[in-house]
Amino acid sequence: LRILATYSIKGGVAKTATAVNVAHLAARSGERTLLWDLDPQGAASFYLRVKPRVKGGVERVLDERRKLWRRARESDFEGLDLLPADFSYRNMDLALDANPRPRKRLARLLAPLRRRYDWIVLDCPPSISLVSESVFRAADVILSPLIPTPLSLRAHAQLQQHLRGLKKPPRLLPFFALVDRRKSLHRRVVSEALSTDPGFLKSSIPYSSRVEEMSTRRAPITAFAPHSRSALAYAALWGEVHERMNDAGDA
Amino acid sequence: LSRPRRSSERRIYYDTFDWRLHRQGMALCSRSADDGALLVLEGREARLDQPVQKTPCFAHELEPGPLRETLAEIVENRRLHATVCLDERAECVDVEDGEGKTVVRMRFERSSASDPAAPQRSERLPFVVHVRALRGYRAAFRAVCRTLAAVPGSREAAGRQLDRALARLDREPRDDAAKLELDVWPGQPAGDVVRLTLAALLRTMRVNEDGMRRALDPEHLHDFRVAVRRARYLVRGARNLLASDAYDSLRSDLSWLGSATGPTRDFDVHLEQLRSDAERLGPEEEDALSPLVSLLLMRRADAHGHLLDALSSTRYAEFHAGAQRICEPAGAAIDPGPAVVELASLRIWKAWRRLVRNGRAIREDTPAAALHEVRLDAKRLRYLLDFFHRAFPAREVRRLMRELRRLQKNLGAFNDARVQQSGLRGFAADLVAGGEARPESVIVIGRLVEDAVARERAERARFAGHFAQFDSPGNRKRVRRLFRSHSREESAS
Repeated sequence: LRILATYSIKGGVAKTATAVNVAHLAARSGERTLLWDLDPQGAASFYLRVKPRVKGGVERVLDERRKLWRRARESDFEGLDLLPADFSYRNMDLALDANPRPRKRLARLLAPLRRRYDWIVLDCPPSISLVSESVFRAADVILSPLIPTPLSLRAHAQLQQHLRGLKKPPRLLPFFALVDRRKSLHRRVVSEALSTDPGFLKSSIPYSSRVEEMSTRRAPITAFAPHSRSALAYAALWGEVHERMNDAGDA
Repeated sequence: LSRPRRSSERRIYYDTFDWRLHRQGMALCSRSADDGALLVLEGREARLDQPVQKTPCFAHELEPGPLRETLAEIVENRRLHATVCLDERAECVDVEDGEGKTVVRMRFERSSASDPAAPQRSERLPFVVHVRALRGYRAAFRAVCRTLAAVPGSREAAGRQLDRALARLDREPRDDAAKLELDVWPGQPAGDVVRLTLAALLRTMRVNEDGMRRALDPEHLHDFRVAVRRARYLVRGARNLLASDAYDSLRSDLSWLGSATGPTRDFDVHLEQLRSDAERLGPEEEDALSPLVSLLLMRRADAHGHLLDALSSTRYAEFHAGAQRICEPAGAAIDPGPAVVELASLRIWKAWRRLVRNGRAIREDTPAAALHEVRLDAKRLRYLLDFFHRAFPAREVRRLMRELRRLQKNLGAFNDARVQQSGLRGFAADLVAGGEARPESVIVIGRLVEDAVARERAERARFAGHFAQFDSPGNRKRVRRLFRSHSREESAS
């Protein structure tokens, strides 16, 4: 089992689109995949047409005695399950805090899913909170989308610094999303970052209205337009993530 | 409901002649694909598939992989036969909720089944709707099931489509099994049991005859020969119950059949052993062994020709007709005799004592021929237990059988290693004499002989342990309790 989280301190950087597409690509390659929507907006659940309804609210979800996998919903795509979120997830910080060792809670909840899934993808809400702290503990890799602007790079640096302070930090894989090649700033930031920081993934996701179509089609772009530029970019990104994970495994 | 997606497919199911896959609750089928076929092995819990250019006749012809491994474990060296052909037209429809999310998947199937050997006869199968629940949507699944159940004439379909197809084609999946399972009770007249057993053995011969003639699977011949040997031993043991002319004719015909089928079987065994050796050794050695394989195939073809002559002869037809007459319930050829429990106890007790006596006499330096005798003794005891086990407490007999099987396996492996050595030496000499032997062929044959010698030694070293386990105080006590009392009464009477 490998746990991947899409995370960024900033909002609106295509975290959810990345989580949904990456989870779909994993499932399509034959890996049993679970996507856990941790965002109270429930956008990942919406993309996969699953009703944003969590029986008993987030408090019950975090109750270790109840089996998490029983809450999983099979998506329309073979091998891809979803744990939906609803608005009660806005209280996830409080619910975690009510538990002893709140930062370890997610990791402990996910441990029994080892036999059922090959990949778990966590779609995180933005900002640094107890939820993100728990995610950092549970995840093997953080896939962090960045819009190519100086402000995003600053937020990324903050995240890097924060992760460095952890005892066992997950592997951070930043990449550029919503890249608009027509903007010279985007081109310059991408080129400088890739040439100076080898930690960045080489694949980037272009800005495209087709990605926005995900909200009307309510499906991953890798499913409804698998040959589109964006879908191919996600496939390349997924390939690179796999490669990096395998390199880390070999090391 | 989503828009229906239509598809059509032809599936050909395969199994061994003794339905090994079916008995394990598994199904092997080939599905036609764009570039060849997809071979699918489905069980209760797992599904394996592998693309193939053509359907293999044996498991070992498949590319290495999980499917080959699983299949080989079940079917061993048996040939795969097409059992049924299913032509299916399907429509897949998804049931969606208000969000447009699929909550239940449905598949409507119209199929017809045909026998691959007689494809002109095609039978339509009942219309089947498969309903699949998606995880997390049980309520929707139950609602769909309720709706379907309310449709007049519908019912929950039990079992697999394959079983329905076989039933529609009047094919009984266990009809070819060679196992002797007769209803025998202790007080039944021994003559009745002999008659029923002989009839069952004749049936086994008949069932395997066609496969033997067409050389479909070496196991047809094997099962045929086992039936002949069993029948020979049955007739010998029932000498007092059989009319003398019936006894004489059966003895002589069965002995003739044993000889007529022996050479072909010997070559089958050698070829099978060579195949597994070649697989173990590697491609170079396999190539070096090819002249030997060709020689064996040629000789097997000759032997099979003689076998076909025997099966087509008047003597064979008369043997079956005569044996059937002997087995007729109203016939006078078999005397009812005593209760089967008495006759069986006496025979089993004697066979046991003989086996134990000969087994105990085996020392490290005892000639191999003596061990061969012990093997035959064990075989005789096994046949008797196969014939009459139903007349005794099942649990006790099962335990005895378990120990006996272990001993037989050891003795069988010892004998196979010896037969292989002498066979290989003879074949190598023939190859050299015929000028067909390449130096590397002789070297590899030499290696195989060495391996066989090592196996023989290893099995011989294991014999003492296996025999001690068989001749344990517990087993001795069990045999005395089961068979001795009756055999004494019989002897006294």
